[in-house]
Amino acid sequence: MKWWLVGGAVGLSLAVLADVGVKGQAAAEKETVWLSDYTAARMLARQSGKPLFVVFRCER
Amino acid sequence: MRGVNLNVFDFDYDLTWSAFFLNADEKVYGRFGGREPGSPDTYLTLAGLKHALRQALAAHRREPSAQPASKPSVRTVEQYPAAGRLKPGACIHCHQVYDFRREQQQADGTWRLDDVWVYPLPDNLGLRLDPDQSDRVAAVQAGSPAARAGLRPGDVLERLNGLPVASFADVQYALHRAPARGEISVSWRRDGRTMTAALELTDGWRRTDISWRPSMWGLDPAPHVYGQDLGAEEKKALGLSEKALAFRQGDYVPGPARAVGVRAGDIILGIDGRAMEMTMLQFNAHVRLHYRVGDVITLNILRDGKRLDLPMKLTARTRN
Repeated sequence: MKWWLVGGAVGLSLAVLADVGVKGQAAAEKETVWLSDYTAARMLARQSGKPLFVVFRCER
Repeated sequence: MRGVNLNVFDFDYDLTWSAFFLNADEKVYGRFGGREPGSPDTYLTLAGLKHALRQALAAHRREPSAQPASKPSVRTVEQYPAAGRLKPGACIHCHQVYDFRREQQQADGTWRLDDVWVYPLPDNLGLRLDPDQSDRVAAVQAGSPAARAGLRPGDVLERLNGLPVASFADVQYALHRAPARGEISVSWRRDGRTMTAALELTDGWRRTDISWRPSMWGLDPAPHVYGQDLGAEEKKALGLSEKALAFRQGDYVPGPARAVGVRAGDIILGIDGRAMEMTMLQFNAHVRLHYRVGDVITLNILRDGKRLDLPMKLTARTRN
C-alpha cells in the first residue's frame, strides 16, 4: 500500500483551489508538495497551523 | 497499512482510495471517498472533493486547535496475530485489516456474520445524495425511512447519527456507527432553517451487495469456483437469460473443486438446481452468506454442451 499526505503548506494550495478559477488553480497546483512521512507532515501542520489532507491509495 | 493508527484512520478498508482532512492533533474534520457496489467512482467527483475540502477548511478556521473527543490510542494492523504470518516488511493491504480483525474475532468467538455489513449506503434508508455535493439530497425514495423523517430533494444534511457530514464518506461513516435496529438522529438545512428528525433503522437495513469487497474472499465457506462471466451473446446461444448466472471456470481449479470433478473451462450455472440471476462475484458472496462450513451443495455445470451435477461439501479454507 502507498499513502501520500499533504502537509500544512499544501493545505493552503487546496484552500486556494477551492476558491479560484483555472488560472489560480494551475498556480496552486504548482505549489503542491506531497509528503509520505506522516510524522513530518504532522510537524509541518503544527508549525504552519494548516490542516492535513491525507490520502490512502491501496492496491489489491 | 503498516504503522497506520487504525483508531485515527478508521475507514472502509475495502476501498482502493480514501481521504481524510484533519489537524496536527488528529482531530478529523471530514472524510472523502466511499463507493456503491455497482460503481467504484460515482462519488469521487472533483466538485464533491472541493465541497468537502471547503467544509473541512471552514471547520479548521473556526477551531484550528480542535482536539479529538478522546486521545486516540494507537492500534495498528501489525498488532493482529494474523499479521505475524507475513514476512517481515511485507506489504499489508488495506482490506487485510478486515481479514485480520475477523480472524481475531473468530478466534475470540465474537465474530457474527452481520459484521460483514460495514459502511452501509444512504440509499438503504431511501436517501440518494448528489455526487457533486454529497451532503445535498438528490432524491428520496417514497415510503422510505428518509421520506418518513421528512427529508426532501434539495435538503442539505448537517449531522447524522450525531456526526457532522459534508461528503458521501462522512455519511457512510456515520451510518457505519449506527445500530442494527432502532433510530438515529438526522438534521438538515432547508430554506435557511435547521430541521431535525429521527431515521428509523429496521432489521436488515445495513445489508448491501458485498461482492465487490476484497475482504469477501476471506469469508468461509468458499465455493472454490470462479472465473469470467459469460457475455450476453454467449448466454443467448446457450439459451440462458441475460441476467442468469453463468461463468467459465478459469484455468486454475482450486483443490476442493478439482476433487469433486470441476475442470477448467466448465460453465457454472448455479447450485441445487435453482435458477440464479447474479454475477460470478455475487455468486461467491451468496455462497459465503447463505451457507455454512459442512453444508453440501450441488454445483450445476455445463461441460461440452452437457449438464452435470457435482455435489460438494463446503469446507473452511486453509490459512497460510
